[in-house]
Amino acid sequence: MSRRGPRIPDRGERLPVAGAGILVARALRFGYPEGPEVIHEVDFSLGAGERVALVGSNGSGKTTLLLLLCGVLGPNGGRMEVGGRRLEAGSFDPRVAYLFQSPEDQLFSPTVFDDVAFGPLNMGLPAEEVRSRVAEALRTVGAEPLAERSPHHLSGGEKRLAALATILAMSPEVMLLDEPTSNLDSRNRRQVLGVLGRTSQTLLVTSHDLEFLLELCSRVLLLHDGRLVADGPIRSVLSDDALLEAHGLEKPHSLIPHRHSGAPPHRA
Amino acid sequence: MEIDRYADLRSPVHAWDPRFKVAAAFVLVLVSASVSSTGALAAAAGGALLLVLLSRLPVGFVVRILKAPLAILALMIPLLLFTAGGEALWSWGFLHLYRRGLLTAVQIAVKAVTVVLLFAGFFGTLRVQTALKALEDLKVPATLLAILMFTYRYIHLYLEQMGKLLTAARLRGYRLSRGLRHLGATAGVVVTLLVRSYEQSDRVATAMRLRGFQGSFPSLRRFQQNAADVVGSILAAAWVGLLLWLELR
Repeated sequence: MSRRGPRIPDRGERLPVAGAGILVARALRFGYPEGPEVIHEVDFSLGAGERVALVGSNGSGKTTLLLLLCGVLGPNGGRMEVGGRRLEAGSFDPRVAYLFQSPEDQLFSPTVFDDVAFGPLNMGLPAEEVRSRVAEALRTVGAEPLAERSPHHLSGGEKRLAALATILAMSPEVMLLDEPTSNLDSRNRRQVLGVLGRTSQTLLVTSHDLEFLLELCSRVLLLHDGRLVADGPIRSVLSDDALLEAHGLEKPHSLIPHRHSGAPPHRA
Repeated sequence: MEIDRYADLRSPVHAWDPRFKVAAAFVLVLVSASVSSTGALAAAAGGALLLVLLSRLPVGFVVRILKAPLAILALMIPLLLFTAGGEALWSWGFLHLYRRGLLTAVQIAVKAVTVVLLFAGFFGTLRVQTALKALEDLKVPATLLAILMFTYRYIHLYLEQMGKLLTAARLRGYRLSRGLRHLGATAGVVVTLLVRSYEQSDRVATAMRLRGFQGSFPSLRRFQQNAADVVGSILAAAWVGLLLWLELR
């Protein structure tokens, strides 16, 4: 596991990569066809069961990096490894799951049950095991009553939980989660946090909700213009005003020391 | 409106094996739309009405399904009545009500109502996902099933998105009724919707590939027929036979 303290490299400096991680990115480079490179020599390694935040301002390359790590995009250089084996771009690897930012992209079947069963069925599992996995995944996210509902009848929070169940049912080793709390109210956000907090999988989570990441993750990767500029314990990195300011982020409210004025609270 | 809103009621039609039901629906719709003799048309319409009564679907639900085809008929029938030519049954100035027009209008109206009643009776008693599975078991091509499945899954989303786009446009002065003056804005809404749906279809395809999609939709749903299903199928076959006999005799 590569736990590297509050290590903040200079621009262009590459952080060392430990070899024993469950998910390893080695010198990953990527650019869309006819476009400039948007991911530059990204190196990191995630340990088994580690929960890591991936932060950066809009357009920093977070979603692109996640799509590389699950094999949807093929790198122009470098490689991805899962459990010590190279991950080939374009191949289906149930060890790595990806949660889309919008559950509308994730839920395409007529019912939640069908959607959650879709992955395990494609893995060629026996019917009984598929049923058991679907039941377990729905129970984990607290969405058992939604099984026979159509996704378009669900609320935003229910859709998010159902989408999470679709990847949990595949029992992946690594879950890449793209903005899992976007458009959720505080109660649903709390529910998603509870579900993710109970999972044993390795998590790499992008979000602009830094408070959510502080509660869920112990480590953070900071991406800026496609470069990994910081990798370390989340509280240390997200407390660094100068670093956050330089990369278009703001310190989470809970890490700002509060001073009480002594004045009584205003009552309407 | 959701066609499967009352799919969980209890009735002999609801209980019928979905595979037999879907197959019977297609055959009966085809035969009912093809017959033209008075006896066959009456038997088709009567049978469709009986099916809906047996299905115990709420009258309001069936009427709502009938509304759209009846609205189209209301536009078409006056034209037929007064422009078909031939023997005039009634005249008032330059207006002539033609016998041939009247007969054709009645025939079209009965056929349309019959087909819609059959559709309501068969597909209103079946969950959409069950109907899709039944179609799969009946060897309907996977591509066609995928199109049906995605249409059902995403039509609501795109209608909702279109509503939002139109609201956003209206809040900035857009009016559909202004026709050509706002044609550019109308085109903008349609193009935006098309681009969004294209982008989304790409993401959905990615989501499917990431969960191992290889061109087919495996399912755990299995159907089991019993004696009642066989009896239902014999009755449906007898109904088809009666229609054909009335038509061909």
